[in-house]
Amino acid sequence: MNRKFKNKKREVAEHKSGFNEFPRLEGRSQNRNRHNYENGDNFEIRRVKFKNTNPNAGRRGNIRKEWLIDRLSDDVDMMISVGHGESSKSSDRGRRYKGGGGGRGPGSELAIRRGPGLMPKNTWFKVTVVRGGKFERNQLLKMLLSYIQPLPLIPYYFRNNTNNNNISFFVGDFSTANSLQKASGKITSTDGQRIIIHVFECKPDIVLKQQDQDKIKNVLAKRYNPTMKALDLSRLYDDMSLKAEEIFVPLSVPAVLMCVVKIIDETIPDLFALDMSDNKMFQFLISTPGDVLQNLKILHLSNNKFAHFNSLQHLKNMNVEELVMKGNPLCSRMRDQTIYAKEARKIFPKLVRLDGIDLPPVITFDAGTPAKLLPAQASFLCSPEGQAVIKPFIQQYFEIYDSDNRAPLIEAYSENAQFSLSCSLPYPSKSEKNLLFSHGNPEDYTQMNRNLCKIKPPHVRKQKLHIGRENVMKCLSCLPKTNHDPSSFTVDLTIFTSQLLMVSLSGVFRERPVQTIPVIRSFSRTFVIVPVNNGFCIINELLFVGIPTLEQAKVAFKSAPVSGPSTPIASPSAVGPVPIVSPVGLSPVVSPVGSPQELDIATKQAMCTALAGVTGMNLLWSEKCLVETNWNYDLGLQAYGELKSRGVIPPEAFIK
Amino acid sequence: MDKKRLLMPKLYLDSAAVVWNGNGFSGKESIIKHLEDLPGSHHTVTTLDAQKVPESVTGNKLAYVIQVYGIVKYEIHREQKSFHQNFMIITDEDNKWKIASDCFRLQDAIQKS
Repeated sequence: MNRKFKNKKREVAEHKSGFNEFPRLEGRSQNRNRHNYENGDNFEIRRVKFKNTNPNAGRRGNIRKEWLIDRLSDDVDMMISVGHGESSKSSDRGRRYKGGGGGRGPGSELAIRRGPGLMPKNTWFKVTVVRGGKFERNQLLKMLLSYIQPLPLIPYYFRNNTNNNNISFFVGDFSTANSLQKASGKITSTDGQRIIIHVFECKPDIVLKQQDQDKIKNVLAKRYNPTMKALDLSRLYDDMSLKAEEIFVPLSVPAVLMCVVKIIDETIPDLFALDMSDNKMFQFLISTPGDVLQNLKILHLSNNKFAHFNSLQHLKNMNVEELVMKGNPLCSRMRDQTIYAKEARKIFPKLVRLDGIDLPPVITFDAGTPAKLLPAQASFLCSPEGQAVIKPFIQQYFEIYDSDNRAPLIEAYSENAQFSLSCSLPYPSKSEKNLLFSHGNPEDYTQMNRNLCKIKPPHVRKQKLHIGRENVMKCLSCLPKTNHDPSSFTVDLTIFTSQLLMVSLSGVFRERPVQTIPVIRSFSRTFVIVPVNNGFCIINELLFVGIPTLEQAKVAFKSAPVSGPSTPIASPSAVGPVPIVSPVGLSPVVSPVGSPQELDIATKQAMCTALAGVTGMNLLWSEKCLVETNWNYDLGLQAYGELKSRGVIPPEAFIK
Repeated sequence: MDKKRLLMPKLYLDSAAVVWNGNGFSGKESIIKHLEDLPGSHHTVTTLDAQKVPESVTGNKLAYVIQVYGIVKYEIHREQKSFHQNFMIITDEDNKWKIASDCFRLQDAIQKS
């Protein structure tokens, strides 16, 4: 116990000596010399300490008046971190009883404090003078002062409660608060009445009105030194001009701190140095953690009530290089300077000076700056000429692939073409289910899965590799009908020689018919294409089918396919006749649609094809649908969805 | 790639093409630079498929196309991502496999300008 008191003494000593050592901030307030006036550091004598003669005293009755504290050092922690405000105080009491009960052995020392337990470590005390409103303010204060002299009496936030005529104000000094509490019932006023005074620790419930904020702004401006870019907010609650305006600005109150920080951030964004010492702060809470005062390099928080560096978490991303924390409870908790500096650096990694002492530089390995990933590009073509081949190829391939009859694709495959499919379509867990897409029936693909990581027997591997265009087509026709989203495509052409082309394609498709929650899948296709006669055909194709990411599913099919499937390759709109074997005569034949609308026929045809592709209806009915919705693709799709759900679309609409 | 990236350049043909998420690199130096610039990674391949490329089109060289799918975790990211990648490997004069084409894609929604 004695040791702990010594610590307290040391802390107080630091507290005093600290004031003269803030060399780097200029323009200090005129209030500095008043520190010792109010800081009656003689609280030690107030602490009553005696042997516990009656071990049951705590359990018997007088719990409210006398309570046990067995470990003062723990109290510091509790009271500073949580013990502010009435409600948390009561919970502290409960905890303390438990602790006290456990620690009480024969002859163990206990400190018992009388009264409702004012703690010397606390920040603000609310003093209520019952029916004090009948006195004139100065008269009342004089009466109180005459009792507690020579202690000072500095009332803040002096308020008269009109409901019960009580007077309330705050004092910041523990001795004063303790004295005032003792004065209750002992002062007799001129009219013969005894004055009843209640004192309890309390977080001031301050609401700063707009006009108050404006006044605070003026005070900050006065305290700001523009040449040094330094703002002195030390002992802000004691500021003369604020007191004259009857504005109480205790920075220990989060709402007040947030307001002040906001003002600083808005008015002095390039602030370099900030002194917030002597403000009874125990926590630094701000509304936008890590996103304020990015130019601040010097921060003084000495002689506050910070019990742990964790209370500064909200300052984590600031660029503070110089910090003064002297005179905070956390200093006495950390005796090892190295640990102290380490903890401080966890909050302020760029710290070079702590409490006026230069810190050893942080030595790290030079592993280079962490690399960033290159942003993804939609397409890479190793050769610009490749575009003229690739773009129409992809366009035509998927136009047919997404139609109801994939058979014409046979023309796109070489006689000896190889095709295999691999997939990763695990059944979704409950948490993976979502409203964006459903997982459908993975077995459509899994039975063809040629994942060589899993399939080892050579004959099975062989069996799942489809060789020859007829076999390939058989396979492709078995796969669910689809609808690819061209806006999701990535196209990379890695090899483009006279012998062969290698193209990689990835994106998303959905299965037809499209459900309310569509089956959306991601895919990746690798093509090896060879020139044949005047065109090209596929000689190797590897298809992978997987589950889309949520992001992919979110944006899938959001851009309306106005002009049918298109590739992301930017190119001149008109691609000249490209010698591709497959497309000739293979594009779905669209019957010309006579139309009086301003849209051109080609666009309308494309819209019909697209709608037919999505809905599974034939072109005639797709057109009907679009005519009725005045050629608005989205409305058409919507109308289809509605009619479909009502089951009123005749079956002939789906006959091709 | 994950543990001995220094040796990676040896795997590539001098004329190899590497495409990483739509960014192309060709030529040994450019590929080495790209490999150096990539942050530390850990890949897990879950799906693999491969096909032989007919010798008629590769000038009688043995060549394969390989397609993989898996999960990659970059040390600069918290979360892992899925990736697609395909290769064409080809035999060189010393009967060593060399990568002729390497195309990598993170599975992600693509932003188009």
